Amino acid sequence: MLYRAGLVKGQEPLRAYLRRSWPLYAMILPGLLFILLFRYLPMYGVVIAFQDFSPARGFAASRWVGLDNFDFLFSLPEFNRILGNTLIIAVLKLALDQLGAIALALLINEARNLVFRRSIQTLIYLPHFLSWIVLGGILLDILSPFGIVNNLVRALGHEPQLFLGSNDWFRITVIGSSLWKGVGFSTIVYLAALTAISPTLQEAAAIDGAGRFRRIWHITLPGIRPTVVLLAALSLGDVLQAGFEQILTLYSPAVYRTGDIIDTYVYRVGLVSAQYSLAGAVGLFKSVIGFFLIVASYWLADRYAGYRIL
Amino acid sequence: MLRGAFSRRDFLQGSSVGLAAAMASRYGLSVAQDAVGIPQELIPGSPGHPRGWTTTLPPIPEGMPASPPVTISGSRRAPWEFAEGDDIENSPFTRLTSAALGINWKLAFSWVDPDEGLQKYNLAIASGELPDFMETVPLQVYSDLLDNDLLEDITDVYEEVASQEWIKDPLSFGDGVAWRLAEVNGRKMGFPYVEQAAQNDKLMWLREDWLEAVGMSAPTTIDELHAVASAFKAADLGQGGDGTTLGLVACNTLDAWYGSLDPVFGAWGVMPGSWTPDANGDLEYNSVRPEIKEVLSVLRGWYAEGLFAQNFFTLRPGQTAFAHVGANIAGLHFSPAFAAVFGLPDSVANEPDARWTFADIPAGPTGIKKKSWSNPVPDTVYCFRKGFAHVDLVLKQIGWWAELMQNPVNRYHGWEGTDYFWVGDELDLNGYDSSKHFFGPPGTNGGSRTDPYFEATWIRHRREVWANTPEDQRDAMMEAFLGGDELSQLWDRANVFAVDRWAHDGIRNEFTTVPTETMKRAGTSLDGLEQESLFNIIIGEEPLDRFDSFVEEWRSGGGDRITGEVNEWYHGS
Repeated sequence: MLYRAGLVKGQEPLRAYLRRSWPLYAMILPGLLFILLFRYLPMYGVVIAFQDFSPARGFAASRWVGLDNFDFLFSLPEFNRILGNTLIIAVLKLALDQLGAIALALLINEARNLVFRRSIQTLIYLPHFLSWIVLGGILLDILSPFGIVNNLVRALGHEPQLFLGSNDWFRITVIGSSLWKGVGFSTIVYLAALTAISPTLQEAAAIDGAGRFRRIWHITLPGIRPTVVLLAALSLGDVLQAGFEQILTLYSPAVYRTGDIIDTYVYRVGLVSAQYSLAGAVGLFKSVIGFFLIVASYWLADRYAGYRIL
Repeated sequence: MLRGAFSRRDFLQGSSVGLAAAMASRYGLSVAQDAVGIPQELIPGSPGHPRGWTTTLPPIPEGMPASPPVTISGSRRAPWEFAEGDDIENSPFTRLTSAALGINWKLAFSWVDPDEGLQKYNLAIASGELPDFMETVPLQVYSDLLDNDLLEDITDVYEEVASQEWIKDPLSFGDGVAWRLAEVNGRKMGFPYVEQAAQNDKLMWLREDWLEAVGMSAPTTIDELHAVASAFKAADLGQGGDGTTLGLVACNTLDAWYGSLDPVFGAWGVMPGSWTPDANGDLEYNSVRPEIKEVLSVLRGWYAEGLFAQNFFTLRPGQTAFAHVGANIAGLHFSPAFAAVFGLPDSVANEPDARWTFADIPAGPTGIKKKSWSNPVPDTVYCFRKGFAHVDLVLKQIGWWAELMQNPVNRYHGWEGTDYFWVGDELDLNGYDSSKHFFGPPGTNGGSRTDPYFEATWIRHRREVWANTPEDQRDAMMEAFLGGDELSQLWDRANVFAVDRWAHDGIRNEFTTVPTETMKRAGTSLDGLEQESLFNIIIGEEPLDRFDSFVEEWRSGGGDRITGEVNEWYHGS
């Protein structure tokens, strides 16, 4: 098999191998070129993070400032605050989104009625397709002092809360609304993984007397473990993505303390004057952190869950 | 197309053109020639209709139409719609400009939203293919173009050919503020973008029927304002559920374009975010002045009494127009004249009996009555590519169109089929403004003119000349305007009212140039500190004395250095 597929080259002269296999290489070439051209070449643009970039001078002639942009970013009086907010919001979003998606996928998977399953599935991933601009307006309304949520709170005999205007509530609102919007969509992959678990295992366990929760614990969950590990590892690359659009639509100066993240801060810097280089430096900073976390989590996944991509 | 019979109006128009030509030749006036020879269908107006009117074209500038015709490339923000078969290079504007002035416009690139415009300008710079004439260049692109010497210095051509009456004089308003960006070190490096006077100056908008219900009259002082707002709230006159009526509208910006609190700050003579001269003639940042603390203590009290929406500081200005004004839970707000067509129509649609009126802003405890002055020169400039040889033609075009559009006696109302439609003998004005398709002022998307008083001049003309024309002599356009709905009449009145007060009731931000070095580095941080502190004081999250520590932090965090830089610029300019 391996020989026929051309993977074991040693047993065949190289020339003969190439003559026979070149169409395969030719076919992969456009894809490789595409990646080089559109994914790797633009990386050259990160040089602007080390320049005082001006479009008129271009990459070549813009003034080189070394680490000045990073220095500026790290020495901001608010740097700890915006980094902290970014991490807290992003990590909680990632963790709750994963847990929520697994829980929902299990629930949907256990549902018997097909029509019910399908409609629930559709309903919960619809919000994913709404933009934050639209959703922001809706949230502002339903979370307002006389919106439906606060009317409910009042009806239950509690004090109405400023969900978007109070530092106690802002992060909870952001994380909660992001969960509501995204969790349905995240279940799709888990539901796909769940269908791959052989029903015979479930049946065998049922015959052995395992109840529903035992079966979930001993069969379903171990069955989707590779998927969970993979998605968790990949999502770690997003650990500094707290959701720029969402926070920009929902926040206000009064909640800067708990809600201002790196991206929204840099956006405001850009309003004062165009700061291509600073934006470039922030992007690079986030990518580098994300890169190391992905590598680390991949190593951990391999080591403790025996998971490898190849 | 069959033209109607030769009307009396056509005759008068023809004879006046002939007379002017005869006079010009008799007195040896070679300055200009008349617009003879331009096909009638290219000229705006509707002389062929029974109740139509004739548009008079201004004299063609000397040396025009350019022969052979000159093609000029221009960039511009994309307009929304066209008449059948038209596009940006072939619109009523380009056809008449080509016939009358010999200028053919070619589109270099267009954009819809500002980010896209920024990208396309940067692309044009990077590829070295700048258009001859650049519409509304964003400030950051403008500085980049200037720094790299890519712009044509138009100073000399401007002095020579720009129309005194229709460009130079109108642009001299407000101590030359029109040139705040376009002029660099005494040289004109671009042409100013000018919006309408008092466009964002606030008026006090009031529910007349609510005033009657509580038996009060329009407040003239801050104390009366407080009394009226409290009465509105107490009487709970709004359409919302019990206890939802607001006393006064506010939003997440203290000096906002709708539902603003700037007249309240103005009543103490200060304006957050503005730089104004102090007793020594130095510019001082208003947000750290002690008067701000007094205003904050007042606003804090009002918030605690529930006069504002509990979540007002999370709402954008535009949202208050819908959520507060349109939803009829507020009967008092400080908004510009255009509130008559933004917010109020929703209110009236939701409650047909709602009666709105406007009044002057109230005076403070020491009798000061001030508001934020809306600068009609936004952060953008029209630019000419370095080496572009026809700046003179563009300037002449601007002057000619300005005279045509800005002088009401010329009766420019756009073209049939774009700006208006005939329905029998009546006019339907629900077309679109064809001046959005112009290359350069006095058109372009966004409404740039050479004269900030353009709108006000027209309103006055309609209200004084047209309204006094006997009804049987009015044409369909006069009829359509004078018979407009109540809110658009209200808009006109409010507009003139605001313009009349523009020059003296405004607190002008005297820092009108590009951000200083420290502003670029520390500005965001300081702005954040300011917004966070002021709002948290108003809503009671922080004690009033937080203001003092805020001032300290602002000064030591770069504010003192910024003040130094600002004054260096101020005294140097």
